[in-house]
Amino acid sequence: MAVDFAQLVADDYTWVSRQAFRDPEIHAAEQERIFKRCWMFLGHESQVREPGDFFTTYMGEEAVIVTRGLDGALHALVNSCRHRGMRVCRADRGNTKRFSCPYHSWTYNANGELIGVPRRKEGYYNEIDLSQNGLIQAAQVDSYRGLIFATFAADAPSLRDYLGDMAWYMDLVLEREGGTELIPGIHKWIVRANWKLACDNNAGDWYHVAFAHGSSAKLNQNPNQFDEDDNRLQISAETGHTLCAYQYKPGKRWMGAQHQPQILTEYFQETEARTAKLLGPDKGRVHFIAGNVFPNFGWIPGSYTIRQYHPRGPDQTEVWSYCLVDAAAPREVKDAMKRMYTNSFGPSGLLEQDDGENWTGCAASSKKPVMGRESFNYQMGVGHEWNIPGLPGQHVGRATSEVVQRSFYRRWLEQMTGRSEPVLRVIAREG
Amino acid sequence: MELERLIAVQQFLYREARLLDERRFDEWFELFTEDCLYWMPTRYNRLRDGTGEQWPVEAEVEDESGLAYFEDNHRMLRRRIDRLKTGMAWAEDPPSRTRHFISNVEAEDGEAPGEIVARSAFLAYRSRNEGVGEDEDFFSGMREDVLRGDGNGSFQIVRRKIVPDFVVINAQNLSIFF
Ligand code: FES
Ligand SMILES: [Fe+2]
Repeated sequence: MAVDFAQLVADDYTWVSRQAFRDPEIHAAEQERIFKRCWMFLGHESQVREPGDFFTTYMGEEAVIVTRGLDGALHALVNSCRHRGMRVCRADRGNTKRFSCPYHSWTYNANGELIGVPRRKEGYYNEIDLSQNGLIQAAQVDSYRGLIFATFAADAPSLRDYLGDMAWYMDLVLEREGGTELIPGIHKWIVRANWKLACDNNAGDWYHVAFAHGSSAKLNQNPNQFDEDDNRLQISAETGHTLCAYQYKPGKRWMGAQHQPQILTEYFQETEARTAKLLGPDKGRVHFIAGNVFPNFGWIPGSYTIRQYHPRGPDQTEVWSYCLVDAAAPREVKDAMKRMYTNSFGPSGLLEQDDGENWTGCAASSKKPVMGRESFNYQMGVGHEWNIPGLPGQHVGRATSEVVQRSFYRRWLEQMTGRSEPVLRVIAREG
Repeated sequence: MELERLIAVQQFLYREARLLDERRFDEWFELFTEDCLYWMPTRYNRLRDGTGEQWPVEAEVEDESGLAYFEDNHRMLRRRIDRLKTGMAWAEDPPSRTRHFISNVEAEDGEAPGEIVARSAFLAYRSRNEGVGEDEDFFSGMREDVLRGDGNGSFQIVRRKIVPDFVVINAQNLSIFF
């Protein structure tokens, strides 16, 4: 029986059926309608600086190799031999001229072209067309201020259009003298929960921070660290890209996290004037706390991390978490950022630990005979969304609001039904 | 006297493991010097270079500039332990049931006078909640410790490097020590 996706989400997006978090059929449809249609984050240009440099990752559940081709261009190649499907690259990163399949040794270059087939004459009588058997490639590859994305959809909008208003907020992190880079290495771990639970949290769930991560506020002896605050906002666009942000009074700006080491405070003071000039007065007042680029590209810039929540069947998510730093910062500053990230949102991080615990427990409920029939609740703050002139994104709520999740599931539904779904209503106009 | 030293190191490591499994974290913390480093670098699948090299483990482990799972100084170790006492450390409340199996112990002279390098393998089992399905994890790896005499016939850990046997952690977090 085909799933009626429209029945899974409330008209006003205030609830989502738990079926969407367990059903293999829905999961298979997500692969087609979301992960093969959307622009997927792949990595950072700092991972592939030279021709022949490569790293491996996933677009949804499809393994891909991202290469800097011999032509200097970026390629996203499906990591699967065109002959019988063996993985042609089994290293996580490196530099190579060719990917040679371990099975029958078909060989591809860094552009994905098939350049060698053993026994081409004796076995194939020269009847095989190499040009038709290169590695399958993403339809479009592009980068935005150093971040590499790709999509399998030839008819997808440009990356810039796909990001829409979200690019304005991404710039808050990416627009730096000298750009950004990744610290070498990726934290990878498995959470036994559907990918959407991780993403709807990273979308900007400020509500949970004071409670799920209360141990940090207690440790810092700062009980108000994660309080609600009029300057803390949830921002979402029709695109389903969302974030939780802080808007400072004019002239004030983010100078690093609370309780940060002195070296970072000094770094932000030293670079303040230059960053302010790059960002301008409006942008400079906004701090991007956490957010999600639809479908599964999470951001927690205040802790120097971006991450991809790779789906692994309906029941598991493989988190790939990176540390993103200013490329021009001194070594000791990068090290301090790296430690701040690791200690907070790495897999051993004092905040991250508790998220996995919660998502796993939530996901388990979706398979139970009684609770599996109930939905997840996203009603908080519905009807209290407003606009703020000068801030891109159509819907703004207090930090303690679920407008970001409603926006996420609106976009999810739109992808799944292929229809244009009603936009979130903006009733109250405040601020 | 090599044998005596080896037995002393073994007994130290066994006791240390027991302190973890008995959740005597404050006593465990006392085993680290103030200038300690508790470091677990990440690891990755490396490309063969085709030269017949001996596959050195170090070549596939991040150095100090790369990402680590733990990169704790004394203060951060203390924070991890204090967090467990906040009443809001949900990932460890109720606490994990752990068992640290320590083996393959070797001891040799360290670089600084009086220091010993102790190598050991570990298998750590973690059971949480009802202890079935997703609530069971295994972690495996090796440790290279730099030990210093503590003045009372035992040791303190100056530096612990933990090299994991995983590239993807097959668990939802690293909320326990190794
Ligand atoms: S599967 Fe790759 S050459 Fe046969
Ligand atoms: Fe969280």
